[in-house]
Amino acid sequence: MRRSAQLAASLALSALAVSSQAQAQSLSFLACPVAQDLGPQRDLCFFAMRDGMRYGLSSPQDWGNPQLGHKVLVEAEVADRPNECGGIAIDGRVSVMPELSPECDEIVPATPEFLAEELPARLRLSDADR
Amino acid sequence: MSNSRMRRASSLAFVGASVLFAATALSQTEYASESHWWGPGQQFEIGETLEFPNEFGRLRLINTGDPIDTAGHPFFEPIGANGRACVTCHQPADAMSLSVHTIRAQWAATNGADPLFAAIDGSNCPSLPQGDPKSHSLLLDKGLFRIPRPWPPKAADGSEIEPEFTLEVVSDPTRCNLDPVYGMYSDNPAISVYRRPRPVANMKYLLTLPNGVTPHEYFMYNDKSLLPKDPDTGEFVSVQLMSDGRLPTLRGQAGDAGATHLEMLSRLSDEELEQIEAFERSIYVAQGFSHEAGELSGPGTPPGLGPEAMRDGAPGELGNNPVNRVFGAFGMWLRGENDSAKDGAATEEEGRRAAFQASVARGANVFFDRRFLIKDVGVYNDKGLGNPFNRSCASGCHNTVLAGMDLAPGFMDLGLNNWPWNKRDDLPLFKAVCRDDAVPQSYLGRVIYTHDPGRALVTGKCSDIGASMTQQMRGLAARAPYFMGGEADTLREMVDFYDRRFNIRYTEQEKQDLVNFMSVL
Repeated sequence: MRRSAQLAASLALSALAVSSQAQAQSLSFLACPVAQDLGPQRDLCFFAMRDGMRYGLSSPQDWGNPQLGHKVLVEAEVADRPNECGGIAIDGRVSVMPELSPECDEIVPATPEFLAEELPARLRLSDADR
Repeated sequence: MSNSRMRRASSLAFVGASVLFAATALSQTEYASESHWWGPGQQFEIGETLEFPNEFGRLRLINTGDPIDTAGHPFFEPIGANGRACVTCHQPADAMSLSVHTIRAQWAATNGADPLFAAIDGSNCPSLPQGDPKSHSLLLDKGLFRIPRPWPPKAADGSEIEPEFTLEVVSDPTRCNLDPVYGMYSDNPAISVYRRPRPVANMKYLLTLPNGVTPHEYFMYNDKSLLPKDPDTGEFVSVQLMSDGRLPTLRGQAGDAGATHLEMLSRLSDEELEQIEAFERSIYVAQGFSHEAGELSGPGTPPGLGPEAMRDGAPGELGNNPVNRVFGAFGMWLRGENDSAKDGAATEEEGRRAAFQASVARGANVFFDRRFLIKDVGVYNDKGLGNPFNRSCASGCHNTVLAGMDLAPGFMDLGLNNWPWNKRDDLPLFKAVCRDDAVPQSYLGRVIYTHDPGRALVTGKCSDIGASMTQQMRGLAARAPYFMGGEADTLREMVDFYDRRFNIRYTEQEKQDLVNFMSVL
């Protein structure tokens, strides 16, 4: 319940942030990545919380995906595009810190809004199609 | 006449090209009582096809080369000073590996005098009393041979590699790592680890560089500068041959095995190496007949089963479900017992067969499709995949079409070698402490308790501690126990390990289906 409320607040804030940004908002912070379960048929996505805001850590090709057990250094700017992983989209770099951070170990269960997301077309094969 | 020739003459046992060895269906009792041991120097002929009984049915071996007379062939001759041949540890009946069933039978047959139990690595430590079965407990219980690795590690050219970590012996149940002659503080410091012999068959799948792997900076195969080169040809080569990747070519492995396991006093000649490599490249193995499912190749059978599929398949292909299934389609076996009964033609036996086949097909689908969170696997999750990574067995770590190794990156610390996921009382335990300036092991940090540092004994890298190369999955029915350290005595124990390790929560039915599926590979 608390998680849903938090998510809703962060989504609302993120929408505000995206719509009102005239200039790029720079971000630089160290945080635990959080894994967002997207259901049994999809890979997880990752996000990070900073000052009550949720930022999506969807990776460009040259990033390695975030890892539980390690903090990430986010050096990015808020991007002008729809939310990613339930958080504000960002452009820049997300670097996985090499040292262990055992406290970074949270996986958020899939919620209906994530489960209801359309799967990518290539995964929508029926058994007959296979 | 030499002793080996005399042994050969007295045990002459030709198997014709078209005659299947023990091809008639043997019951499990017959399997248990019969020996299919090929001793060094014994004479056999390997024609196109051989079959050998095992607990689940029969393993089939296909030879794509000319018929081979084992007499005089360097793979089969006792060319080592200890009386061993390559075939000692790579038995045709055991899918060219060596099962603990065979090891125990050979101990019983020879009262431990067979060269298989040679002190150098067929015992827990050469300094132990060799007549005592307790001195060979790791071989007799788990099928493990001692692998002494130089410490500090040495590069291929013999130069010393400065390791990023120190090693301390925490416990030494085999008494070899603290042994004054063989231990890590001896004049020739060595770390003794204990590993299973891998199957020497289906080699094209292990030796071919991968195709279709998504470019990624972390994958060895996309940055070829990370790959070793064949010293003979200068070409980049795969590293999937050995568990720690220390020798990437068949020639290199054969030469090393000759000097170590066989205790050869001189090096194998170029001609002998050529013969060994040609033989190893020409043979394919897989389960060919299942007691429960029947014939495993031919009309009506899943196309990925049987050694014929291995012979005809394309190597180096990445199997990504659902588009390209790793072991092919099994849908034709999803018809179950009830469907057969509805057809009105099913005898009780046919019904049982159909039910088993359906179980195999369900197990294949679990293997292909049932995702779980793959988490904290060193040298795997940290290769850009993310931690955790939500994939199935096939789309996660066993993705090489028809063979089932991980095509890229290959090495990983599944948890079998390092604490906390696996703790063994029978294996040595080391404490590794990594330097502050080294990249730590991704999920265990800089202080690691390990039974086998694995790849790190080759590279000296902290991040590689406990990592080993995934294995091919063919002929499993013939070569228990499983995993590099023989952790799983049975297929069921293998499934249970994964279930525990990744908290998968397979149902009892899914577990049995997976066991049945793997029994026909």
